[in-house]
Amino acid sequence: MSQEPEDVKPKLNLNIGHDGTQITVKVKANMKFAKIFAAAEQRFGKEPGTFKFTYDGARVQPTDTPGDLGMEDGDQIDAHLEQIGGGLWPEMES
Amino acid sequence: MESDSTDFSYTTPKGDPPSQSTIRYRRMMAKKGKDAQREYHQEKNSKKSSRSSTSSTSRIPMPPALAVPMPALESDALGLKIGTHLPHNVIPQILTLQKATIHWVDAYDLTAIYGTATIDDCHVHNYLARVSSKTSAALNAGCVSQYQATLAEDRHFQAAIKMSSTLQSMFQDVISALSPFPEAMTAVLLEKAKLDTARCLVFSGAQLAHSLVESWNSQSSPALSRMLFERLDSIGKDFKHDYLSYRDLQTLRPRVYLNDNTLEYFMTSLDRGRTDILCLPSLFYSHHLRKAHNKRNSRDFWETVWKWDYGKLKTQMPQVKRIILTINQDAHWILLHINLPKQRVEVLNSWQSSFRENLGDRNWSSSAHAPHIRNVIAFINEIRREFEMNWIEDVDMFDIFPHLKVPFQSNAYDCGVYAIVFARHLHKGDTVNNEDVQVKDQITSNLMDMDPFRMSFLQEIVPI
Repeated sequence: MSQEPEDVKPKLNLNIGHDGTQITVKVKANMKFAKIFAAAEQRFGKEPGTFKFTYDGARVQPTDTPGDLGMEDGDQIDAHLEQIGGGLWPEMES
Repeated sequence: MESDSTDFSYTTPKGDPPSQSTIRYRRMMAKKGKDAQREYHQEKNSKKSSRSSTSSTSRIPMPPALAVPMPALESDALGLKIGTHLPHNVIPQILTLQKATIHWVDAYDLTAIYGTATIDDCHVHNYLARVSSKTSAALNAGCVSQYQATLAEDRHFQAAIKMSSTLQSMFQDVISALSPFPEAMTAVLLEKAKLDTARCLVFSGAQLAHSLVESWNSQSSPALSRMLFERLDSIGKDFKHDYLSYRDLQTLRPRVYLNDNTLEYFMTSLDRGRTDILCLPSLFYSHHLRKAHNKRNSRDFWETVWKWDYGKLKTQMPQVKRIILTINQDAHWILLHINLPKQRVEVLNSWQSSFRENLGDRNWSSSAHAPHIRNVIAFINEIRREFEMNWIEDVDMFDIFPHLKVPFQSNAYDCGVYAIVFARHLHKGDTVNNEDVQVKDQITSNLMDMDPFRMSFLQEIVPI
């Protein structure tokens, strides 16, 4: 493994999409997603922990890094709101 | 022989009987164990911090619980004798005693025995089983049924749960801590077991605990719900789990709507690694399959779909026989069950509906679930095409059950729990409450609440 100085390490642009809105974050390949998630949530104006993120349909964990997942420049990450459910099926209300 | 330190049984002996030399060795070790106890007592009295050099290396650290003083265990004080019925009014005393005993057992036994322990491949399970069955037989004869009846009363129920779970975890701790160690421990345990009824209770506790734990699943009670609240309250924000976050776990609270992660986790947590059943989370539906009907002819669309889970979906699909889809619609959880060999698509909706009796309805297009069914039909068609699974019948031949008759909820918040239980049943067979589902795990309509199930889910993640 080559040990390049940190500031020369290539940065990736990752697109994070939620509900039709796209943002781009510039990250290092070895940066933990926890940090990236926090930034994205802030940019979308959401409380921390609101979103879950997927990359090619798989959950991205806060402890992963873009390098772990083999991400490349321009890759797309999707942000999803938590889904909850308990009852109140609309059929009954009609 | 190998011994699984967490799994133990009371009846089945494992492995061959020990040889004469092994028995002699164990007797010797047992004696040493007692010596260690004596030594331990002496040291405790003299409050020495260091112990003999021979045993200091292998000793486990002293649990802080040792600070709890051991009460006098005079059985007469409680009026308890083996085989007698337990009067109601001694229950609180027993609980106090038990708590102290447990601390005592933990701290005293483990350290005393471990001090002289060497690794041996012996049958700890059997020894524990013998100890436990001896003492509990005596108890079972006279008091356990009465004891349980008392505990099952609501005012004692919480206490019973606390006690039984503490006992269970104690047993687990003892077993896992001592799993390499045989006869010495048994001797000590037996010795102790004979001491008095209160201690017997501790050793038969695991059995009692088992039956109590089983009874959780069948009865809701305000005490149990309170207990669930308390347990979730006691979990800190620093909670760590591979899959579930603190926030996810907290949706197990009584009356709280379950979230997608919680559903996704518990639906499959008991059946990891199955290749014939695919259980897809709600995100798969909301993100991809929701558009399947409209995009059924778009190659790009299906390309993206098969990439799901880093392409694992594509690799797994050829072995799949049944698919469970989780769908969130307007804050309600439902499941779609695709049974490819039996050519059925079933909607499992725990909300009581007037259409419920319409089984195998060919006019499903008027159902509220029609959009989902259309998407699923497109999905099945694509599976056949993509994987050349020609054994799958043409989807037109499938029976569609838009309102399968399943147990339904009696409140407006437990549908997620129903969905998890349905999915777990479907992993055992192809219907809800199928014959391979244990009685305690079966589900009925109109349960007051699903808190016993919520409690058992929590128990899987954070055992007491």
